[in-house]
Formats: sequence, structure tokens, C-alpha cells
Amino acid sequence: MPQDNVNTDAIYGKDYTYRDDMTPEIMARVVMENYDPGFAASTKAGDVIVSQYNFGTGSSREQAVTCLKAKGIPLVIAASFSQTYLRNAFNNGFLCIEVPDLVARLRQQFGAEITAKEKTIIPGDEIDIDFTSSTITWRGDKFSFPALGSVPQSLVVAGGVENLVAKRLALA
Amino acid sequence: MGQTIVEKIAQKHMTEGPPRPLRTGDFLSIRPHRCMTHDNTSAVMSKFKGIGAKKVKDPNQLTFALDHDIQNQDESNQKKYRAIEAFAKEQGVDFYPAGSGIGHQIMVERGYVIPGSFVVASDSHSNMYGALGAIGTPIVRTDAAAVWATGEFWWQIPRSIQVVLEGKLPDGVTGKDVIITLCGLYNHDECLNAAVEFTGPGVASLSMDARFSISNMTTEWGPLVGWFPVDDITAEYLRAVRQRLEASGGAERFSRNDIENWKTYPPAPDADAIYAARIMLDLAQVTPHVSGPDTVQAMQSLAEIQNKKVAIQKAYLISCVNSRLEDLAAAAAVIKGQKTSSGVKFYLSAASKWVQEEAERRGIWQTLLDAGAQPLPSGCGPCIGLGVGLLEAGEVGISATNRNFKGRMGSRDAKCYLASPEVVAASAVAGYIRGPHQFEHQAPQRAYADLTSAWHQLSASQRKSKFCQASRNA
Repeated sequence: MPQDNVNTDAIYGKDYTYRDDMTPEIMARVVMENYDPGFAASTKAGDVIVSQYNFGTGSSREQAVTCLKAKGIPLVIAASFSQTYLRNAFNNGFLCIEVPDLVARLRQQFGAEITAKEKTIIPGDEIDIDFTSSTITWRGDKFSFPALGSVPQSLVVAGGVENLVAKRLALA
Repeated sequence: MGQTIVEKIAQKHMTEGPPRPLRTGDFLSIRPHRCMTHDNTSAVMSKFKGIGAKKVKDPNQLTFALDHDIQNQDESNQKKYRAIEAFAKEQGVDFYPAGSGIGHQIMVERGYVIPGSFVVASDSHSNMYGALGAIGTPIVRTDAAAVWATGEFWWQIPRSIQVVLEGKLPDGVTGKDVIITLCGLYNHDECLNAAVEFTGPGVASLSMDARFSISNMTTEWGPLVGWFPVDDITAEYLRAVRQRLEASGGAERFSRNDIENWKTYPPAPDADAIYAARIMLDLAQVTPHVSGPDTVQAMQSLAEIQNKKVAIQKAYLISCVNSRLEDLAAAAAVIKGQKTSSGVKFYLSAASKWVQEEAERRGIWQTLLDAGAQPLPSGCGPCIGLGVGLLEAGEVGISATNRNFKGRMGSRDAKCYLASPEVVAASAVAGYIRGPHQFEHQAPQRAYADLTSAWHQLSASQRKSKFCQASRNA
């Protein structure tokens, strides 16, 4: 997604944010609608999103994270994230990693598509993400990323903050 | 080595964290002074019950204020609202029904936000509380459930950036123009996820309503905090709050003596605090600006956009960023005795019921209605794309709100520009984007000093202990 500041209204629009009857299946169908109405149809579970600077800026709506989970997106890579988006991500056990070098490399690789204003570019090849060494490998190139802090790590491992609080209450 | 304001105030509200003064990057548990939820109270209730909690830890810590979908009379929505009210009663939490106002305005005008306190809301515009010398910062609904159940949530201290304000705004230039200018000038993540401290001699010239607009919209700029120092203007505002609370209830939230104390010993950063960057802004150089369309990272001077004669179909004087008394009065002064253009619908909603009542007493409200403004109940309304008056495909809107994202205020095939209440009012009359006064095409120069090399040197030795501590806390 070659755009800076992809915002929460773009990721999960107003028509769904204030509805309580959205199932994961419906959420998966409307994901990214205000960014690229074709996104849901052209992507599938297991796809990794790579976007640019300030991903997830905007509101604190949790569904901007959970709709991606519903779609089966395992994680988002961006050049930078809004911290409020990261709170939702980590609290829901969803991974986000900042790899500006990979973003720059992809911009170089897909310059023609970006110039043609394609909203979602799907190379279709694999990306290797090694969390033990904090390294991403794509088409033979290696990119390092900062290790996740221990608090976010423990949240991801616990499957989200609700599980942690539940545990704490049970102990109290 | 001293602490920035965010480090100091977080320190005061810390329940678990490093056994030394807090620094940028530290993880800690915080017990906020107050925590507000709005319509999402319902979602937080599900999470609260889901984690097995029965009683909220401290009912005095919470405020529920319905403001988002208040025009929706569907049974499903009304049922949700009734369930929130019943839960508030059962748990002993302060509850504000639909029509009371926007949650953030309730928090500041009803004494929930006080200088030096750490106040959160499950909403991104919690930054607004910074105008009163508090740390206001957004949390998300899972955090809110944690606060309800345990009184606490996890936080990481952001880096701090000083914004030094000099000079004084020219007549016809507003707080909204200041923040639109900052969003437009520093639009490459300079302040992303930072805590911004406003400082400098220019602060004293900004009214409280101007500070609210600026702090509120620091959210769109990127920071997690937009803090203002406490001064005579803060004290004057709090005295008025106290007076209203003495009449309406809630006077226990702070005393007259507290106000004098805050004035005499205002919360302040240490003189030797460490900042990641410093921005200088001469208020005298700021001119009216319009943000957008589609993004707050792009701005145009009023002079520039006036030349383009951008026709509009809808104008909005609403929202937690710009529908307080000063905003409504400024718009009324522009529009008095005139009518909105025949091709334009002009929507009006006060930030709260109290604001509307005061505007009515002063005749401001009637002036706006006489000009053809269509009043909406006090709440978020079109700003979040709910209820009456949304932008339809192909339409262009001018709005005194804080976000112009594609599809937010209606169709994703509409365009939305953001501006001050004066510009919104003048545009509603003209039918195209313009201001009440002529200004030169001018904007302040960028003045950004990156201080991270000093910051890295000083924090390098601490980084190791920080991570060790964080793993102990986890």
C-alpha cells in the first residue's frame, strides 16, 4: 500500500465502526474499503501488508486492527505507526513492525506501479520474517528491524491484554 | 538530569515501573486521575465482563458520556444506551446521557480535568485535556477495560518535543490556524507519537478556547500529548468551572483553594529536562489556513484557496475542536445579518448543552439560526459520519472539525476542507471557501531543531537498565 498516513477511516469506515452486529466474516469483506474498495477481493489470508509512514493514524477504533485479523492478515509492516494503532494491535495480540528500509526498497522496486497510482500492489512472492534475529528477507535482501519491547512481546504471547488482566484478577 | 512534564506527571500517577526517575521509553503502569468512555462504553462493558470482572475498581475514576450516535433512535441503539445507563447506576459511575455534550467537553467543563493530572479517554482526541495543564492521552477500549477492572493501564513514556510560541496572533487568526499550520509545516512524522509541550511568551496571548482547539488537534498532527502551561487564563477558566459546579453539583472535584495552589505552584517541566526536538513558532507570522482535502498534512493559505473559488455545498460549525463559546461567537460576528448562500447547507452543533445555553443567553445562537444554520443536538454528528447532514458523493464541505479523511464525514467521493469557525461562516455565506478578512499569502518558516544526538548520548547508559526493568515489569 504505497501511501503515507493510511488512516483508520480508510482501514475501517464509519458505516461499520458504530455497529455492534459486525461478524468477523463481514469485517473481512469491508476491510480497507475507503482506501481501496478492491482490497478485500484482491487479498487473502496470510498476506502481509506493507505500508509507509504513520500507518493507522486517526481514531482509536479497535476494529482498524481486528478487521485485519478477521481478514487473516498476520501482521503489518510499515515505515512508522501511530502509537494509538499500536496500542490496539498489541492489546489484541497483533504484530506490527517498523521497517523503513524495506519500504524504501519496495518503493524502488515497484516505481512503475506507484507512478500508475495503483492503490494495492500485490507482488505475490514470499517474505521471510525471523523474530529471533529481527531480520526480514525479501528477494534475497535482508532488512533488520528493532526487537519488540518486552511489554508488547508479553501481550502478543498472552494473546492480548484482556487475557493478562483476567489472569491478574484471578490472582487477586 | 531533570524531567519533562510528561515524565513528571506520569511519575506522579505511576503504580509500577522503574525504581528511578522516569525517562523517555520507560514502560510503566499508570493509575489515571480520570478515564472517559463514550458510546464505546458498551464495547468496554463486554470486555470488562469477558475478563471476569464484576465491580469497577474505582467508580470515581470513570465518566461515561454518550456523544457519538446520539441522533440514532433505532431500538438497538436505544437499548445499548439504556444498558450503559443501567451499568453506570449499578457501578456508581457519573453518566451523561445523549444531548449533554461531547465527552471531551464534559471532561473539561465539569471539572474532571485538573492541572497536573493524568487523564485518559478511549478516544483519540483526549489530547485536548493538555490545554488545562493535564496530560491527556488516548487509550483504546481494551485499556479502558483494564482501567475499570484494575484502576491501571500500561503506558510507555513518549519522547518530548518543545514548541516555543512567540509573538501574538494577528486579529482574525485563530488557534485553529495555529494547529493547521503546525500540521502542514511539520508533516513528516517530526512529532509522531511524541509528547508536545507548548511554551514561550506567546502562550499567554492564547485564550482557553484557542488552547483547547490546538491541544485537541495535536492528535491529527501526530503527538500523543499536547500540553499547555498553567497560568492566569487557566485559573480564570477553572474558577468559572467551579462556579458552575457549585450550582449544578460536582463541586467536590476541586476546591477554590486548589485553583490558587495551581496558580502559585503550577505543574512545570524541570529546567534541565531533555527534549528530542524544539520547534519555534512566531504567532505573529501565522495567517488563516485551510487544511485538505483528504489529509491534514496538506495546507493552503486562505489567500491561495480564495483565488481558486472552491465551491462548497456544506459547511459545519460542530465538534470538540471548534464549537465552544468563542468559536460560536466568532462565527456569529462574521455572519450577523447575512444569510447562508442558497446552495449551501450550514450545520451547527455546540460542544455541549452548557455551551449552547450560554450561546443562547448571549444571542449568539439566534444570530447563527437567523443566518440559516441548521442546529443539530450537541454531539459528534457529521464529524464522525453519523446522523443528519453528511457529505454526499461529489459534494465539497468546509468544516470546523479536525479530520478531513476520505469517507469520514460522508461519501468517499466527497471532499472536505478544515478551517476556523470564521472561515466556515464566511464560506457558508459566499458559497465558496473564503475568509471574512483579506490576508497575504504567507506562512511561518519551518524552525525545527533536532536534539536527538544529545538525547541519545544521555539516554544510552539508561537504555540497558530501561529494558531490564521493562522485562521485570512485564
